[in-house]
Amino acid sequence: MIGLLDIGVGNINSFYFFYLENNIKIKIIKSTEEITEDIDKIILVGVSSFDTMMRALNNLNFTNFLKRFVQNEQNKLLGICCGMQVLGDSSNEGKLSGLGLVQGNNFLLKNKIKPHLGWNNLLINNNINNKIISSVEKKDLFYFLHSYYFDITDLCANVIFADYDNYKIPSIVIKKNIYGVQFHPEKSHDSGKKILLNFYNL
Amino acid sequence: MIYPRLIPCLLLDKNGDMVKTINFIRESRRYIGDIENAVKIFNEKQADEIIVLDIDASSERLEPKFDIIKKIALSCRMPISYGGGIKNLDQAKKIISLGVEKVVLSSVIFENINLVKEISEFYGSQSVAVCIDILFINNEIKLFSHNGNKYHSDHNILDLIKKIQEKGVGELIINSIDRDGTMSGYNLEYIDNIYKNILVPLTLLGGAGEVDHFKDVIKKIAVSGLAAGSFFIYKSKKKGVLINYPNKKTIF
Repeated sequence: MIGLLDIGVGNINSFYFFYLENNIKIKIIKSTEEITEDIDKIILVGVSSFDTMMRALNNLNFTNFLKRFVQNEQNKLLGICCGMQVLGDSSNEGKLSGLGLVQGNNFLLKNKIKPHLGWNNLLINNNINNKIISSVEKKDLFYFLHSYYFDITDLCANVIFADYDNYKIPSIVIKKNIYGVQFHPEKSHDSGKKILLNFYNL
Repeated sequence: MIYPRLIPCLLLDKNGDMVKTINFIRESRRYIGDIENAVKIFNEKQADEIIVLDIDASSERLEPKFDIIKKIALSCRMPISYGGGIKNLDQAKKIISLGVEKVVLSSVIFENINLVKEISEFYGSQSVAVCIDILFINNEIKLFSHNGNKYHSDHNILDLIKKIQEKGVGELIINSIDRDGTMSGYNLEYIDNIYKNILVPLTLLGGAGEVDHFKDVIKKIAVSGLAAGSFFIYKSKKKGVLINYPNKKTIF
């Protein structure tokens, strides 16, 4: 079952009702004690700044829990928006350390116009074949809203990019059982639905 | 490649009714219908985003309409921006926790511009937009707030844009009072003077009445959002109410 971390900084209702509409029951988790044996997938949502999110994860003891959780490769973790950025080691947006699950750091976008705001497509690469992007095509549009980008240096990770004014924006990261998406699948209509259902079906 | 967003902008009055105005004039207000219903239709039509503005909250010192925000956000598979009556960080937190991507600040920036900074530091710039209401007359941009009731003769738009960008705003919405509800096209005469100073995504609001009006803007500037009220709620310039959303392929 999917567990949705509610650390007080994200928009969890959209996810809860998305899955409910698709007849999938998920569990909202506010503390580590609420994580039961049947939780084998976790969604980490952040509409947040880096430090606000890490502070919440640290205070609730989720940081250590998540590091242990992904050691079991049967478990799956999906970080969304700031939830993808905190998978990394650090961010120029803040001072706190990230989860360190995917090597790389977050930097302010180099574009003149920031944030990267709007609907963008992914530069789908045939070399990356993963169930999380099953049936996702080049024409699928996703809603992006972010000022920082995750510069992924992890050699074990696969990255799918989007193009924003000739800058390549890391948009999906896949490292074994760890997944991250920079855009908001919960707000991306039918294209986003594919990603969220693919995660459920992993 | 990123595409400009086509954004229905829906107005709420103090009773929570969805209304449409002309030139912000109170007497011009027309009741349009139930906002939840309208949002559901835009959601089905896969709109890029919606902006919901409570136009009475600041002038009548009312709280944001949390109950309506909650209902709208639940059924939305698209991004929502909400403005009206937001005066502090706690209200912004509550709104965002209900499932809203961006809060829109307007009147408050003339009273406490630091709120932009407080929200952007807590959530990041991407979560805070500012809407500036302007009147363009005699080749001059005049700034207003409180639903057009307060004129700020002591403020200059370029200085204001500079200040709110320094405070970390993530989007700038420029709302044209003189084009509101006229369906006569966006006012692009003033845009050259300010465009080059804008370092955040720019959304224009006020005046769209037909698909060509969107095209006129795109031809001239790299705009991030094209927002409108009448265009999306009226069938034509005769203003029969019909919630609609165009096929984007006809525009881009």
